This record gives sequence, C-alpha cells and structure tokens, in this order.
Amino acid sequence: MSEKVVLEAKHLKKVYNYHTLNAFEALHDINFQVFDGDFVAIMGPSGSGKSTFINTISTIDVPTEGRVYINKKEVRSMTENEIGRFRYQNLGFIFQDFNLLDTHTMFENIALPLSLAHVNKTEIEKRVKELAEAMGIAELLHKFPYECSGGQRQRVAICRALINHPHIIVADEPTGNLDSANSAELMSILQQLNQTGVTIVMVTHDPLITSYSTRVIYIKDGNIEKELAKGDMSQDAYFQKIVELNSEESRELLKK
Amino acid sequence: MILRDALRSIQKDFSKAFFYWLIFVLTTMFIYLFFNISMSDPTVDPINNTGNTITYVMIIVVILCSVDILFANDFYVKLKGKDLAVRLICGGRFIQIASFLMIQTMLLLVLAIPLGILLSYMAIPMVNSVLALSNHGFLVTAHADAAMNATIIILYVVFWIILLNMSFAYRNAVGMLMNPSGITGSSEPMTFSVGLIKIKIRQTIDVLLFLVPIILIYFNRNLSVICSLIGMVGLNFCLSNVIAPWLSRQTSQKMVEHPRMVAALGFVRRDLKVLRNNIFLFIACAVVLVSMLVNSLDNDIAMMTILLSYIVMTFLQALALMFKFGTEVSLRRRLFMTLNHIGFMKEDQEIIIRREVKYVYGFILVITLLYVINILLVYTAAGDLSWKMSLFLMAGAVIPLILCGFINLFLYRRAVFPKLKDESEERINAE
Repeated sequence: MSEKVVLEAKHLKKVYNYHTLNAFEALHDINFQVFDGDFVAIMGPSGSGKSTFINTISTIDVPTEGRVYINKKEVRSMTENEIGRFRYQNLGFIFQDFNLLDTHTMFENIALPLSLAHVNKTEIEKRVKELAEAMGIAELLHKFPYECSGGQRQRVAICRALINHPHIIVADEPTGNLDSANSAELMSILQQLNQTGVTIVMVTHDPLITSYSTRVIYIKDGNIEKELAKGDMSQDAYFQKIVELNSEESRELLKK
Repeated sequence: MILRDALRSIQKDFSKAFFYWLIFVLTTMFIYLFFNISMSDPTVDPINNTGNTITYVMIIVVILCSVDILFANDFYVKLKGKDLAVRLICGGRFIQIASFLMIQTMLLLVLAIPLGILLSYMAIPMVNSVLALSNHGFLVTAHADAAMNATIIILYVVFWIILLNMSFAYRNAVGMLMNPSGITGSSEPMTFSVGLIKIKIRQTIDVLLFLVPIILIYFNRNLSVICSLIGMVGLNFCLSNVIAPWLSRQTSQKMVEHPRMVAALGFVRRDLKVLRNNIFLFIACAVVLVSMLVNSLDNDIAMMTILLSYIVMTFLQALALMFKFGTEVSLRRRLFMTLNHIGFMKEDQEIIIRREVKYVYGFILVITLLYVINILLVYTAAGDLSWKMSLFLMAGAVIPLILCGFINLFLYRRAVFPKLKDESEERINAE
C-alpha cells in the first residue's frame, strides 16, 4: 500500500429530505482517506450510515455538504458526463443483490463497461471470455441472470466490475446473498485483486469478512467511531480484534 | 373489512386500476354498439345466421374483446402479488384472497358497464351521421336484443375472470407472490451442428409462411382473408423462432461495440417476449379485419360493421399493448440505476428509452403495414377501393399505435427518472 491518496472525504455531511420538516442527517462531518492499494472495510450497526457513506464517496450519491476527492479531483466539480466516464474507467461496483440487468445475458452484462469504453468487438469478446474462464463461469455466458444461482450471479457481477481493470472496487455487502463457501471464495478473489494493487472499499457487518481487509472503520450514528488497522497481525488475531471492537460497541448500546 | 381493503388497493394502484376499468368501458361500449349496428338491418341475425360475414366478424370481435379483458385482468391481479402475499402471511384463507381480488374486479366492472352502455347510446347518432355521409340510407337504432346479447357476452367474460382469479388465488404461494417470475425459457447458444441447420430450415419456413401469402394476394385478391390468416400463423412462428434469435445475435455480437444499442436491444428483446401475445393480437386483428373489409365492399352493412370493428379493435388492442408495456417499464427504474452505476449518463439513458419505444412500436407498425398496405394496394389498383379509403384504413392502425407509443414514452421516462431528477436537485442544492 502506498501513501498516495486515491479517495478522500472532507467534512462530509449527508442530509436526506433537505429543507423539509423530515430532514434527517445520516452523516455528520466525516473526514476519511483511502490510500492506493488499500483494502478498507466499513462496519457498523444497521442504520449507522454505512451504505450512505459508501454511496457518497463513490459518486453514486451526492453529499449535502463537504467534498469528495477521487484521485485529487473533486467529484462535485465534475459534470454528469465526466462522472459517468469516470465510473466506467476507474470504478467497479459489486452489490449485495448483484445489480445485474435481468434483460441481458451474462455476456452482455459483462461486456457493457467495455462497450462504454469504446473497446472493439473482437477485443470485447476475447476479454469477456478470458475473464469468464478465469472466474469459472464461461459456460454461463449465454444465460440470463434469472437462470443462474446467487453465487454464479455474484461472479458475473465481479467480472463486470473487473473487466475494465478499475483502480478502485466499491463493494456494498458483497457476500450478503451468498453461502459461506461462495463468500470465502469471493473474499479470496478480492484479496488477490488487492494484492495486485487494486484499491477496495467494502461495506460489511460480518467480522469474518472484515478480517480479509487491511483496515476497518466503524461507523455509528453517522460518525466514524473507531478505526483499526491490521498491520502485522495474523488474520486470526485481526478477526479477534474486530469481534472485540463490535462487542465493545454493542455493550455500549446495552449500557444505554 | 375486505371491501375496505379492496377499495384501498384500487386507490393505491389508481393508474393501473383506471386502465383496467377503461378496457371494461371500451369493451362494453363497443359490444353494445356492434350489436346495435348489426341488428339495425333486419336481414342480419349474427347469433342465429352462421353464414354471413357479420357472424364471423362478431366471433372475432368477441374473442378479441374477451382476450383483452382477460389480459388486463391477469396483469392487474399479478400486480397485487405483494398485497396477496402479506395477506397469506397474516393467515389469509383462499376464500379471503379470492374475495379481495373479486371485489376489486367487480367494483371496476360495475362502474364500467353503465358508462359503457351510456357512451354507446351516445355514439349512435355519431355513427348515423357518418352513415348519412356515405349515403347508404341505413340508420342505426338502439335494440333491446342488442343489450341482451352484449350482456350475455360480458357475463360470459366475467365468468372467465372469476375462474381466472379463483385459480390465481388458489395456486399462489407466498414465495411466488413475493418474487414474481422473470422470463423463462431456454437461451441455449446455437452451435454449428446439425441442430443449426435444422434451425435455419425452420426459420426459412417460418419467414416464407409469413411472406408468401402477401405475394399470393396479388395473384388472387379474393383469397386475401385466407392469405392473411396463413400469414398470421407464419408471424406467430417468426416472433419466437426468427425475431428473438436475431435480436440476441444483434445484442451479443453485431452491436456489442455500441453500448446504447446493446442496452436498448436487450430491453426490446425482453419487451417482445413480454408483449408477444399483445403484438400478435394487434397485428392479426388489423390484418384480418382489413382483409375481411375489402372482401365485403359490396355489402354496406357488413362493410360498416367491419370498419367500425377495425377502428375500435385497433384502438382497443393498442390500448391493451400500452397498458402491458407501461406495466413492464414501470419496473425498470432499478435497471436504469444499474446502467447509471456502470457509467451510462442520463443522456444515454434518454436515448436508450427513446430507441426502445421506437423499435417496439416501429416493429409492430412495419409488420402491420407490410400486410395492410399490400392488401389495400391490390384492391385500390383494381379500382375496388378509393385511395382516400386506403389511407383512412392505414391511419386506423397507425394513429392508435403512435399515440400509445408517445404515452408509453412519457410513462417510461416518468417511471425511470424521478430519482435521477432528485439527485440533480440535491446536487444543485449542495452547490
């Protein structure tokens, strides 16, 4: 991991139903940095603002106040077209419910980011087939998402996220709909990618999944409560620390 | 309690309930008007006399009206899936679920029938003024028998709706209701083998079955009805065996470099699968009725009845098509959010929507006109039909489709973009 900051949030604030009586502040003045090659896990209880946070720092949502910088460029200064281009060139998204287009085959789903990047037909076919082969889904390319299992769909979602060789992968509960075997496999894929230099920002509530990361931040009620770095710890020791971190926070809730 | 819930459910899905109700109103109106016209000529008895053209037209019209109502009912009931699932989870019994559905349908039907009858009575002077223009000396009057016949037909349709709703309530489990089925069916790839040759032969036969009848009409125009019927059988096969695989090839291979086309054609492929029956009904109804009309030019009453049937049925079929397309695209917002995450900009998404609507309606229009224009051309060239009348008949198919296309485009944009609009508003607020 280098010291180069690839993603930065400064005084980030997100208010839903802004200027209305039902205004709700989901994030309060958050400052946060992600370094090149980082593998950050974002944890927190339900309703703590994890998904709002990840959506806001990854251009899906817009902050009410504050600034988000990706590769030193402020997101709000980009036009809608620039953001679109930025997404397919630099970001890969993986979601809990896969977010595949049910109307398109697996091949078409994976090919879309390449198509957007103006890659030629032969190259698209070659790259999709190669990646699908590597992910073990080559025989599923002609099928529609509803014809495949959850694990297979998540692999396709990963292929789509990786096909353009993005610098940053944003994953929101990527193992949420997978069984333990598929979850472990997905995490080892993400870990391997991280080792090749891809930056990963992942939301999860599972300490075991978090233990694959190199750093964890704990969000509660829209604030970053705690941070924990893996450092030289083994995955097992790191996992223990994460469990302790979660337990401490849960016990504080009990005291209330 | 169930009545109150049913009323709330109608209120919640008001726009869908409105379209469902509108189909009932138009169907009732048309069936009454149809019987009044046919019974205004004492020589015609469409119920007992099985040999005349009007009897055949009546059979076609009644079948199409019934199918429209059944389609509309099926969609309305499926939309209530989550409501029904919640009721089942809370311990709802079969009879309660069935009553919940039946009360909604019956309420809409009760509100629709009187209005349909009233509108059909109000339309009689208008039809007479059109008839007076053509100087046929024939006037349409209101008949008690017409009301009786139409009521029997509507009750017959209602009987089927009751059966349909009962079976829906009986066979559905919570899981199925919460997760409505996607498109099913095989999507196996074509490989270069004996299978591919068989497929190619089959596709060629289907295309020939669709196109050859058009040529035959030029040889013997009196065969236009039979040729149209054979052509529609060919169309039915072409929709599944030729168009769908062709679209898949375009999306996955030929157009794969063009992101907007990949997205739009994928959506069109899905639309053609979902709307298949409606598309077929629209085209078949327009083509068969036009061919029957040009074969009845020497019989004023038959011609007027078929003309009226043609205009109303194309309108009704286009409305049913729009209703089903509208329901399908109302679920697309999530897919467009996914496109947004992948990197499709709002401008791209607008273009994708416009292309999709244009391709779907364009396809229906082209296939319909392919038959209609050729039939009209043969009769116009022979001097049996005026150019004005030919253009009028073409407009009868084109105008409802174009109108429904624009309404669908509006509904589609409204279904897909509210969230994106909110986002840009938030962006403006933030700045």
